[in-house]
Amino acid sequence: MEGKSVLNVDGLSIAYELKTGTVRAVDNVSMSIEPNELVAVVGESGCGKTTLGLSIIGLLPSPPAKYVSGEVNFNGKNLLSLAPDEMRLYRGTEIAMIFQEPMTSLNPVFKIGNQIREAIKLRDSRGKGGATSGRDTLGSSSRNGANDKKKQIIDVLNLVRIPDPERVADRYPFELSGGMRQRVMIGMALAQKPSLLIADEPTTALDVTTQAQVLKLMRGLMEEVDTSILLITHDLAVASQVADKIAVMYAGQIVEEAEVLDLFSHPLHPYTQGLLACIPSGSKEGMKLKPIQGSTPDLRNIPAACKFAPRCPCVMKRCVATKPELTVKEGSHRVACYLYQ
Amino acid sequence: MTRFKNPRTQYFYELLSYNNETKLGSFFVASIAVLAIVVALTGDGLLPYNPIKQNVGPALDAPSLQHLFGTDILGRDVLSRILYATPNDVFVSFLVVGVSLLVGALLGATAGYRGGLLDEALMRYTDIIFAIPALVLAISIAVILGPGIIHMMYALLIIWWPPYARLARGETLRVSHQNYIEAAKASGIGSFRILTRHVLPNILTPMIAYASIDIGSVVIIYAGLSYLGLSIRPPLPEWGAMVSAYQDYLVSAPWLPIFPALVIGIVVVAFSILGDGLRDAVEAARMG
Amino acid sequence: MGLLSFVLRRLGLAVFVLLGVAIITFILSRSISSNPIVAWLGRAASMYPDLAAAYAAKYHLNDPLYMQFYYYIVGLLQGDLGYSVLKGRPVAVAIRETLPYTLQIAFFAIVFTLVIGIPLGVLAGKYHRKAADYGIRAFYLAGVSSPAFLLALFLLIVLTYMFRLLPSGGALSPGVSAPKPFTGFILIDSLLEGNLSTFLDALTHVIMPSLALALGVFGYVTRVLRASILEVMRTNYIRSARAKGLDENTIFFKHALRNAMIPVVTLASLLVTWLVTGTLFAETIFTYPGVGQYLVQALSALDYPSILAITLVFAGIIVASNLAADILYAVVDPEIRLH
Repeated sequence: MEGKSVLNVDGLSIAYELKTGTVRAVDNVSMSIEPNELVAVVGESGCGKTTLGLSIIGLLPSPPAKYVSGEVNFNGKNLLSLAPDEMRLYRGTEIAMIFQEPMTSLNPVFKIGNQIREAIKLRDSRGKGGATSGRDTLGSSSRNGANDKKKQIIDVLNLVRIPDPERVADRYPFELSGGMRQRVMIGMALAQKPSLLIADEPTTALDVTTQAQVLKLMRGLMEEVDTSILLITHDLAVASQVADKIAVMYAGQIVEEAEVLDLFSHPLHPYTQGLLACIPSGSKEGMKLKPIQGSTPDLRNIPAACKFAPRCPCVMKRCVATKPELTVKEGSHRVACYLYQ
Repeated sequence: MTRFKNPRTQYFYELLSYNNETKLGSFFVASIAVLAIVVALTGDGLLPYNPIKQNVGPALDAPSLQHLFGTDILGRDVLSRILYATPNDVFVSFLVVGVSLLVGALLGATAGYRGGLLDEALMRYTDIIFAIPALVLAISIAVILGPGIIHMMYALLIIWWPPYARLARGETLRVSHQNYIEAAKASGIGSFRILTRHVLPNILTPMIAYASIDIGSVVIIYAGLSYLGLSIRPPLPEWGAMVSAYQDYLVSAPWLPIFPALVIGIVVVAFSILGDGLRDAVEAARMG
Repeated sequence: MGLLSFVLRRLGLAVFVLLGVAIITFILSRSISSNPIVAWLGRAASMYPDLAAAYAAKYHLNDPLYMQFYYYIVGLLQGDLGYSVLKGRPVAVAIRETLPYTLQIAFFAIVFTLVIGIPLGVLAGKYHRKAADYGIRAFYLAGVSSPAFLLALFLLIVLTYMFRLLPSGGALSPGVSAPKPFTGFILIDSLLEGNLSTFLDALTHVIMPSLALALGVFGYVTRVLRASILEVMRTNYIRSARAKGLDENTIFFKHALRNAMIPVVTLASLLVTWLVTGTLFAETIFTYPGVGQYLVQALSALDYPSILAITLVFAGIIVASNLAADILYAVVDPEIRLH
């Protein structure tokens, strides 16, 4: 695609220093997200995807976490070089993030409308209220007055397709269902007109039907509001529904990255293949579910080899000796495996 | 660090050395307990002076090297008297809390486990007891029973167990929905055994944390009751009684009321530190 | 509607509890002596046989126990709490005279507790694990662990004898006459009279006992608030607020504190119990003529009717304040309100 990437992570490594040892949570990760693109990072719990997400928005608690190397370039600017105050200015209005537990992510003592208003005010105070193409849906700060603020709040709720927005705005969070709360979170995040929305397991806590609705909403909004989305999830099926590109993470590393269709039709890395074989699906009726043997490695003991080697059905001598790097196989399909190097 | 072979001892060891507060608090509390036991066993033998005998020093003497805490109006050594009175407060508070813990645990666990009428009755009864301030109720009962340490202890024992029953009940409710209880029930074990073998051991830890702070509360109330004159046993010393007796000397001989009052405060602080630390330990155990 | 039914339920419970307390005091009174006349009148029974006979008739003290209890309750509802030999008048009258003084102390004690406890709790929460936090914790630990009389003596030494700032006791300085008893509260009455100097004099006398109580009790507020703040700062909604790009001050003061304050409200009812306990000692040491001092005097004189009646009254105060706190909690926390 043309133009500058919205996000360009380059060789990022992050470690946690614990009493029991140092854990390499993110190991030399490089990836990028283009404007209006939805990239999904998929992996098991503990593979480092949440750490990656938090590090981009600068919410990684830094005493236990340490930035070992690499850059996080957002619209060209390396976020890791910023002071905390400067980074804060990016939060919300440039990069937004929503989290997994909608039930507890909203302040229980403030009404919904109040919390949305706060997001809008912050946006306006940073001068982002001005009209930009494609984002006028959310109103501009050139209009003032309480009524207009109220209208903007209703607009936000309408954007995320919440029925009866006037009444909802007057409600407290505990009066809404999980699905509705997550929509409010999405709306609030997008109301600040960020260029990048990071969504960390946004649908995991929701039931399947609501899940599909929220995912579809997010995909649709991406185009409507002119933003990019980084979707973090453990569920490959969820990613396949909405992503343009999928990056598969294992033990802190990206082991394969490709466009959705390509990944599903030609999975290269044995781990990806294993994941796909695990997905229960109607078309494979009668076939046994094949889980991947073994368990995720202890990230404190980092072998100099491929981290998936102990569980890999195709393991070779080379795999245990040195670590394969993420290299291009074909076009935009990258893989880190000696089978292809 | 596994110091002890017996898992129960090891458990308590870990609990008491959980963080700085528990270690410091345990040390203090242990020292006080040891002091109490030593004094109880040896009487006035190890004390600097005889606490009851008069005129072991000049009357109303300010603190000096011979009399670290000074002397009182009858020429008695204040330090010796304070030390001699240690077993009173310590034993009464340990006893009251210990018995309340036991009674409360049994009643509360049974009520929480069985539910129904017993549970309702327990809740309402504790509601009523809670409405009356402990000190005031203790005064009412003690007045009727008459003066003396034993009577004061009875009064305290009657009123002190409700919070433990409430706590035990709450913990029992939390615990009885857990899987191992369901498993025990399913395998046909009788209620009583379930209660004693499975429920009680698991609810004890938070109760112990509460109890350790509570001992301090008993010390305060007991000191208050003896201040009010409910355990008159002159010439035997009592911390609270010493304060009220010497209150009027605040200006002329401040060491007289101040030292006993300070000692009470320090003892309570020791228990509070231990209790605070234990409470953190219980929280952590629950999370982990 | 949720709020109303909530209040009614709590009110019902309160009445039940008070009835239970009345039963207990009744049992206690009958435990003093199997002779109910002695129980009612204490030593006045033997001193004034005619009075004793009159009481026996009035309260049906020669009837079976349950009848006695019935008339006891009836008497309570009519405001009859027995007769005090010590004070030479009905207990109810004596309490009515002394209660305003105690309530004055209680009021200022609560004010001081909040004024000291809340800011310290906020500071300890904000500067968690820094020097200020440890200093504050040491301070409140000392306060909470000290018996009330220690704090009172301490204040006496420092404020009265060392710095000569405040008087050593009494409700008014000698030579200052009390205002006309309109409400019974000398602070209010002196204002109603327009007598400013009396008002100020009364004020200086109420500060010491109130402060002594507050120092013993503020620690609970500080501790709860501090723990609450720490817990709130770890929540997901605070993480969301950060993700929104809000600055730390807004997050702390607007989002966190509003939630952290909620447990403090429930604490208020516990405070009353401790205040009531402490007031016995504070009033004695500062010779402040409140109910606490009355109880201590009754104790020395073995004036049983007074002792038991005061027990009942204190229980009533605590039940009332618990009720008020429950209602306040329902008002503050929207979730409780709409359940």
